Amino acid sequence: MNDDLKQKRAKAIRTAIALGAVALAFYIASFFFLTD
Amino acid sequence: MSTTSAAVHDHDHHDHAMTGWRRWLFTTNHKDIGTMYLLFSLAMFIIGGSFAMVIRLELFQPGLQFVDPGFFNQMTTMHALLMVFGAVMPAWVGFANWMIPLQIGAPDMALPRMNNWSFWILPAAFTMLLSTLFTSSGAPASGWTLYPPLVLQTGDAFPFAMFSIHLMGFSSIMGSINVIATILNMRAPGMTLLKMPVFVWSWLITAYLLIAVMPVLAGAVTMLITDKYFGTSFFSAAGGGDPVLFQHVFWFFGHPEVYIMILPAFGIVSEIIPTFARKKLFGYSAMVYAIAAIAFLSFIVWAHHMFTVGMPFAGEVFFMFTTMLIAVPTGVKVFNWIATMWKGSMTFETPMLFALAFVFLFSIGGFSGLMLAIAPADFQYHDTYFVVAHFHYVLVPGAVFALMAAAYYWLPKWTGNMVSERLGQIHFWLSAIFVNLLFFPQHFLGLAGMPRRIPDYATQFTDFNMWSSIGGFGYGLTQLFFVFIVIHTIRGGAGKATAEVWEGSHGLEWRVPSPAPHHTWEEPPVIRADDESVHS
Repeated sequence: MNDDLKQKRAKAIRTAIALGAVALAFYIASFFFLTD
Repeated sequence: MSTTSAAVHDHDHHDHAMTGWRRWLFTTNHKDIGTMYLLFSLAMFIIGGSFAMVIRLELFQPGLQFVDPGFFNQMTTMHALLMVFGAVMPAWVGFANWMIPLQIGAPDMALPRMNNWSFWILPAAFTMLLSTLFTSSGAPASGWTLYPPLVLQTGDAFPFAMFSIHLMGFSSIMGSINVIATILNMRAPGMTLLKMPVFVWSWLITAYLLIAVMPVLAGAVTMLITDKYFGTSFFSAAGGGDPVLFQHVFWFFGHPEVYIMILPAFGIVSEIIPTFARKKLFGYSAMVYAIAAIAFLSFIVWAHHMFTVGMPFAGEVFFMFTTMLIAVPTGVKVFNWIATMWKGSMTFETPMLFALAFVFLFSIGGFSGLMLAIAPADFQYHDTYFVVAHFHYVLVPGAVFALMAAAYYWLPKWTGNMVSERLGQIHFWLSAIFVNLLFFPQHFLGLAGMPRRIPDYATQFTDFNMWSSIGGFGYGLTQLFFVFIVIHTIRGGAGKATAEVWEGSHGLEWRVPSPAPHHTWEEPPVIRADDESVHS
């Protein structure tokens, strides 16, 4: 794997972790959805 | 083309160490994984379709002829779950896997091992779901909406079905994360966001939708499990909970889910129409913004599925008008597709026929959606066959026709062989005739008051049901013909395909040979600032 690709993959892993956190936040938030 | 040689690298000498089943089980190659998604989707399409045949067989005549009402309800539920989560969604993920790296000049998806994991969860999930048909109390029969308290009456199938839905969610979320990480990080130099093909744009936005709503479905399903087994009362009025809460949570997921199935269809149709009209896409930026607007609106319309449940007047008005607003960006898209064709040098190969039928027939589903959005009218239409006709127009001649268009468009790139136009056109015309025979009469049935999800009906509904069933059997058989066409193409089809395949094609995927080699774009292409040929 060349350096450019390694760098791109490293950035992609950071993106993936951030998106995973967003998904987890939506999962937890769904338990707090309230009706009147 | 200057980029062609850079696109191809012969890795056969060291890269295909694994053969046989190991190649497929352990693969991290986006093309292999895309192929597996597409084959899995085709299998689910056939199994889910066979459940639909049971439904149409029972509804061919009034009275109970073939199955008991309980099994009928299992069939409607399983048909929906398989078609939504097993057929349409994985098919789009398959196209994404195959085409996004090719279209943006990336050597693979950003996270190839997670890609493998995303796929292989699916066969486990659906084996588990299908296995519930063999439990003593049968499969879930509550409808795909899984409303409590009805769904909590499911027997032994309940935990298996709930766990399998969690697994499907995991798979979708990981797949979406991979799509976003790939598009944001792996594009070739010069491939700016507004140079990306519209299919890539549509998937980027779809993936964000998935990340926002699949966890919400998972939350709803987790709460169902805790209500049934751990004494909570999220949805139980007796314990201080509220069954209507489930409907809100479910439809917060459920409405964007509809757009998850249709936005990639908008993307592929925006690729195909310019190719066969031999023109650039009219209003590229407007198309991208329209997809984003539709995605945003999908989050603020969910309660239009619940008008009859009861909600404050202001709520009904809000959800009615936000729903109607969706017609604006959708209208922009339909206008732009037509404007692309205007004065184009059009030809009507099979992908174009499916794309054109999509524009016309999806619009019928859109219009009936506008009718359902009118809150006072919805009190009449709710839970009738009108709703069944509406969403099947959106999903079958809508999403499934777009999937067919995409398959015919890219099959030559995958297999290296052209599809027989004669066979493709037969498949198209039979599909177009039967799909309308199947679903159009259901509008009349619904307007006349026939409820959905019933195995028997009053005799005045007989004729339209017979027509609908004949259309259903015809449509089902025609799709088996599609399987034959795919096999025929893999085995040689109508001759070898060139790299460009279609005369009017644009984009990086047409700069690699056909069939696309196992590895592509290991050296990324460089796209000049003035190069407009990388999108349609």
